[in-house]
This record gives sequence, C-alpha cells and structure tokens, in this order.
Amino acid sequence: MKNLQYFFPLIILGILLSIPLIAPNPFILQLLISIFIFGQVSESWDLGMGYLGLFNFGHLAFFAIGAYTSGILALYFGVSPWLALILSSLLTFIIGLLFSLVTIRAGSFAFSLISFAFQSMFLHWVRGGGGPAPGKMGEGGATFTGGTLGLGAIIPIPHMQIGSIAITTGINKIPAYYFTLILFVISTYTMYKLVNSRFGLAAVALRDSRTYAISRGINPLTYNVIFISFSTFFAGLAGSTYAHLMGVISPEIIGWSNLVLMCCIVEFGGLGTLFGPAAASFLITSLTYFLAGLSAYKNIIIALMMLFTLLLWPTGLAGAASWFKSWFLKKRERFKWIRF
Amino acid sequence: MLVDDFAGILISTLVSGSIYSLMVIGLTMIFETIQYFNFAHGTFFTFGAYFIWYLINISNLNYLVAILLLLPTSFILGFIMQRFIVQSLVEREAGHIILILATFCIGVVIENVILIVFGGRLKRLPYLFEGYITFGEATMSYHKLLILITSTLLLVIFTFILYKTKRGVAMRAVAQDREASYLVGINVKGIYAITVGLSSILACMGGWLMGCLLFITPTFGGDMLSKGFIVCTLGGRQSGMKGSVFTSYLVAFIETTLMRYMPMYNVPPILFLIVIIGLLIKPEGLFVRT
Repeated sequence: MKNLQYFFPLIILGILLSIPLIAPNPFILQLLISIFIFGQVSESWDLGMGYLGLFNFGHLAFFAIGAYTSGILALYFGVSPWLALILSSLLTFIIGLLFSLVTIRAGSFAFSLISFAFQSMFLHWVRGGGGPAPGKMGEGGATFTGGTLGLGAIIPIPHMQIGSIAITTGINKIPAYYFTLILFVISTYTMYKLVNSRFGLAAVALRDSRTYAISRGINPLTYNVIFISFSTFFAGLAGSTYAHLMGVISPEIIGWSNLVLMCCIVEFGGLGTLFGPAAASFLITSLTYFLAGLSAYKNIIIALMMLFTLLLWPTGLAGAASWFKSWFLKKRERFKWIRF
Repeated sequence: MLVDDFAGILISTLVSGSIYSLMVIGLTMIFETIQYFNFAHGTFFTFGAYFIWYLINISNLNYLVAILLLLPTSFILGFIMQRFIVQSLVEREAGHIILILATFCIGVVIENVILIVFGGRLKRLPYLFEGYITFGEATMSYHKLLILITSTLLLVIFTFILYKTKRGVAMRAVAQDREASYLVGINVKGIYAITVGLSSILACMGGWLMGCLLFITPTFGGDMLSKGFIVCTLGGRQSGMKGSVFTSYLVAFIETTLMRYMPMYNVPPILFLIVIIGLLIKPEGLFVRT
C-alpha cells in the first residue's frame, strides 16, 4: 500500500517524459514548458498561502527577482548561466528570508498588505530602469533593469548550454522541455517532502490553531520564516529558468494579468494541497493559451472563474478529487469550507 | 531657494496626504468593522475617475451634477459588493486569505471592464475651477485647494456620521463586539454593507480629485492602493481616525521630499525601506490604540 502513493505520479511522469517522442509539436512543447514553470511558481506560492495561511502577494516579485538577478549577472557581469541560476535563486532565498523575518512579526494581515506594497514598488523600480547599466551597455543608454522595454531586448540573455546543446525555447525545444520537466519534478518532490516533514506538520498546526500550537512549543516566527523563504527560493529558481529560456524578460511578468493567473491556479487547484495547483496549472495555462487573443476578456474570465470557485467550491480541484474518492468508496464525506 | 522648495513640498504634501487619508480611512473603517482588507479599493478609486469622465464627456452633464451623481453610485457599488458577494463568505467565517482573494477578483473584474469600455488610452479630467493663487514664489491651483477642502469636509462629515447618528453608533458597536450587537437587535448585515458603501464613497471621491492631477489609466488605482497599504502598515491597522490621517500626511511628506531631491523611480524602494524600519521599531504599527 505504501508504494501506491507514487503510482499515479509515476504514470503521469512517464507520459510527460514520452511526449516529445510521440508528438514533437512545438506548440504543445511550448505550452508544456510554461505549464511547468507556472506550476512550480504556483506550488511554491501554495507553500506559503495554503500551508501557512499567509498571503504573500509579492510572490511574483520574488519570481521576478530571480529572473532579473540571473539576467543581470549573465548579461552585464559575464557570469556563466549555470552559476547565475544558482546564485540568483540563493539571492532570492536570502531576500525572502530577510523580508519574512521583518514583516511576519507584524501579523498575517499586515504581511499581506506589505507584500502587496512590495510587489507594486518593485514593479515601479523595474519599470523605471534603476539607473544606467554598468559597462559598455550603459554608455549606449541601456538601463540596469531594461525599463519597460525589458532586460535582454537589445542583447538577449545567454542561454544555458550542455556541451553544444543550447537549452532555449528557440527552434529545438526538446532540451528545454526536459530541463523544465526535471526542475519541476525535483522541486515538487522537495516541497512534498518538506510539507510532510515535521516542519510541514508544525506549519499546518500553526495555521489551524495558532494559540494551541504555540502553547505546545512551536515557534511561529521560525516556521513561518522557513516556509516563506523556501517558497521564495523555488519562485526564484523558476524565474531564473524562465529568464535563461526566453532570453528576454519584461516587467509584464509581474503585472496584473500574471498575478491573477497565478492566484487562479493556486485557488482553483485547492489551497494547501500542493498537487492541486500542479494539476490546475495544466488546465488553466492551457485555457489561457486558447484565450490569448482576448486580452482583457481573458482576465475577466479567469477572475470570474476564481470568484465562483471561492463562492461555490473553495476546496478546488483537490477537494473535488477527494470528494469523488469518498463517493467511489461509498463513504459519505461532508462538504468542507476552508476556514483560513 | 530653500524656502521656495519648502513651500512646494508643503503644498504637494498637503495634496497627496489628503488623498491618502481618504483612501486609508476607507480601508481601516472596513477592517475595524468586518476584519478584512478590501483589495478592490483601488479599483473603486479608478471607477470614480472614469465615472466622472464619462458623465462629463459622453453624457455632457454639468460637472457638479456629475459629482452629485457619483455619491449614490459609489455607495451602491460598495453596498452591492459587500451584500451580495462578500457577505456570503463572511457568514461562512472564511479566513482572511479567502476574503482577500475574493475582493481582489472583484477588483480585477471591474478594472478589466473599465479597460474594455474606455480603452487603455490616457485620459484627463478637467478642473472644476481654473486658475491659481500665488504665495511668494510657490503657486497653488484652485483645484489643489479644492482637494484640501473636500477631503477635510468629507472626513468631518464621516466623523459626524460615526459619532452622532444612529447608524454610526451601530457601526461602532459592531466594530467593538459583533455578538453583542446581534443581541441588542442591530442589523449586522446591513451595517456591514453600509460600511463598505461609505468607504467606497471616500475612494471614488479620491479618484475624482486625483484624476484631475494625474492621467487616468485603468490601473492608476492600484498604485494608490499600495500607498494606502503602506500607510496602513506604518500607522497600524487600528490606529483610528487621528492616527491614520497623521500617518498619511507623514508618508506624503517623506515621499514628496524624496521626490524633490532624487530620481523619481528610486523613491518607491526607499519609501518601502522606511516602512520596513518602522516595522522593525514597532511591528504592530506606530499609532496603535491600546
């Protein structure tokens, strides 16, 4: 019975591994690459939102910090893309650690407010350019973050390379596909282990009954900071991957429409389930690809979808799955509302 | 030179501080009564500006009539949002994440409807009164004076409503103890909806006042909302009317002073750092009532 918990994930992983061999269609591969990146970001967001009950509105800002640090290191300082990947996710981890250390003490309400402010202030700074770029590019008028034009718009951010194979979303998408898939699987597995360790149990205990958990000796600050900084680490890793794959990043990646999309993925998948957001990433990212021509209507559709999920079925996809399971096993399970 | 700088900084501080205080009083009013933060507040701000723009330019109404029409419309907007959408979540004792997500969704929907109806092009509202007064070297347009007067007047009216009318007393009672106010026969649902309606009036009026100074875009409310949140965290969530207004002017003063001597795009990060320092000194907020 113990091996059964890995049965379905392994089947899905097998299917995903064989997709480039069956259907090497660039459209499908591109879609799946963005599904993996968005899935990683939304899972890491769920780590804070679902397991801690702390709404980190600035999660996409951490995604962007990872992306921009990686891009800046590789473009202006000539750091190898692989090293930039590691350095930028470590930097995001440290920033997330400091950010959460300071802000969590103010309480969960203030945390959501200050992270919202963080997100919009960061967006402002990135749009403004943040001063001239170092070296020759700065003399040519380029700004540090690239401004509204985006970083890498003039000279693209270098791609990661294994030997002579470039990992990019250019013509040959297959290396990029496998790279993002491996990262997605590794980070999902790490988060799954983290959530099921004693850290995860302590976090859930803090979320559900704060006073009781504290009286049993769980330090809220430590566990909250650990979870938030790990979630920012995975966001930074995803952001850095994104930057090196696409070769160009614009401030739009933390704009409203992406924010709504990510929120919808997390909420539609089910808060605090980890696999729910991963599954919802498949559904909703594909949906947005088909709605791509409708720009403003797309946001309305996604926001309404999220609102109706909140009002009618707040446990999302994961809740639906467990309901079907209990129905299948003929065990009546009462419908649950989320209380955090 | 320094004196002229000071006069200019003072005028902009007063103007943006009044707008922030309109925003923050609305936010904290909802928080004290219903215990959530309205993330759609910025969109109400945008809605106010676009509503006035539509009535003046498309319906060709008189400016004053348009402003008078804005008051009931904004009240109804907030009332409907609370009564028909958020109320069902509040009754279910949903936590703050669910409420934040729900209000955020409503905000996004309204914002994108505005984008579809009006398009993304920059728009500007005309002034209600043209002309300006001069103090030495510094000039102040009548509109800026109007902002000061209107926001003060609105806050005075709101204090009057809160402390002198029956509904206002009921609102304060619900804020203090929800269960007890059920027992003495207060219609808590209605009070909740009225609270959100009133705060929505403040946001929409702020949107109109600011729309004359800045260009209107469908997202300009979000920016104001983040400033409002900064004031909320710095001053404390339950700092009351005085604390909120004082912190608004403080943040506005810091912001305009930095703006005067620094590149504009470096101001937001420094403002954010100041809030972080404030949080380090006093995590619960600078002006929290004990």
